[in-house]
Amino acid sequence: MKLGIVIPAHNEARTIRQVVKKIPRKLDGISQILPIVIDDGSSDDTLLVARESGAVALRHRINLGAGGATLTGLTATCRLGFDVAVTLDGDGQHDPNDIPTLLEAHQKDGADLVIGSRFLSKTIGEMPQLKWYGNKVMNRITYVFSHYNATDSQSGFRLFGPNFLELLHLFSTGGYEFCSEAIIIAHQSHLKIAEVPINTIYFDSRRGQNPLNGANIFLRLLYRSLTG
Amino acid sequence: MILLIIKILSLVFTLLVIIKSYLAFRQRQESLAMFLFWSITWLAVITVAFYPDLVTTVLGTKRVGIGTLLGVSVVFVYFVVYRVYVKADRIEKKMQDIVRQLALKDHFKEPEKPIKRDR
Repeated sequence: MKLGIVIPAHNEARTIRQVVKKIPRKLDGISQILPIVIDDGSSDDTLLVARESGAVALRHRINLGAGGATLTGLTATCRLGFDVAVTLDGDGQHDPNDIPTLLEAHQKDGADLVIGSRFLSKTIGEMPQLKWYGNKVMNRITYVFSHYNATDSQSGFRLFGPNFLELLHLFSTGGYEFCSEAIIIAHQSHLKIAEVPINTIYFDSRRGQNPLNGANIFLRLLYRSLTG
Repeated sequence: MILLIIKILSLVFTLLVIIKSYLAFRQRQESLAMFLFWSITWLAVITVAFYPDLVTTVLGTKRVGIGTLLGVSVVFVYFVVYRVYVKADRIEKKMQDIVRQLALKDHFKEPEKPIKRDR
């Protein structure tokens, strides 16, 4: 089995080298591991640094957001002939050492979408309170549209199995609502979803998602469910 | 007092829209038909703002009044907003597709596909 590590990155020249270097070189049951960085219209040297670090790097000419960049990365993973993809953020908040935990849920339990949940880990206490409430609201919104009760519907640290990678054409959006839409697609397609605890590194300069994006995501998901 | 504020706001907005529309027309970014449409629409709005009794005079007092006119206006505005939202969404999706396809094409160096042209 070949594993692609998709890393959407926007102006992450400072951190991307560290993120790529921390990706494990060998994992049980994996014949090849390839980091794929999607430079999402950065104005700094993210693309160059990613390539120097040994990753395959693709560039969006303009910024589409994490969802659009992830979708490009997943498509590239398929085109390169990889079977499974793990997505993680380019700012270094996710610990690549958790990748085996996600893989285990896929290999042993047969999950096609494995979500790395911050809410199942011990580091959840470090999450800023506003983000904690924002994520809880987003979980409820995602439940309304997917009928799947995820503990961390907005986590960007995920594993997409081969069955899911065949359904990329079902994505109708590439914006903030990507995370929720992935759960909707998986649940509606009767794919197995699993959640595993992940460690999250919180730091002050992390941009993350604006808590007010919840209203925007709700409207986009409502529009998606109405128009199909 | 409130009526005066409404009148002033209506006047400011009307002037803004008509001037912007005229400038766009002068710069050939807008057609004459579009410029006339917005000018007439906003002149109608300001006429009603300054002479609200005109609605009753024109439409009569029995069934159609200012409330009905407002209701119809809200429906019209919502329809326009919906149309603009749908169009913006469509353009955004197309733009996203193009940006993503270009990123993949740059990397995988696909041969150019022949473009089918209508005769």
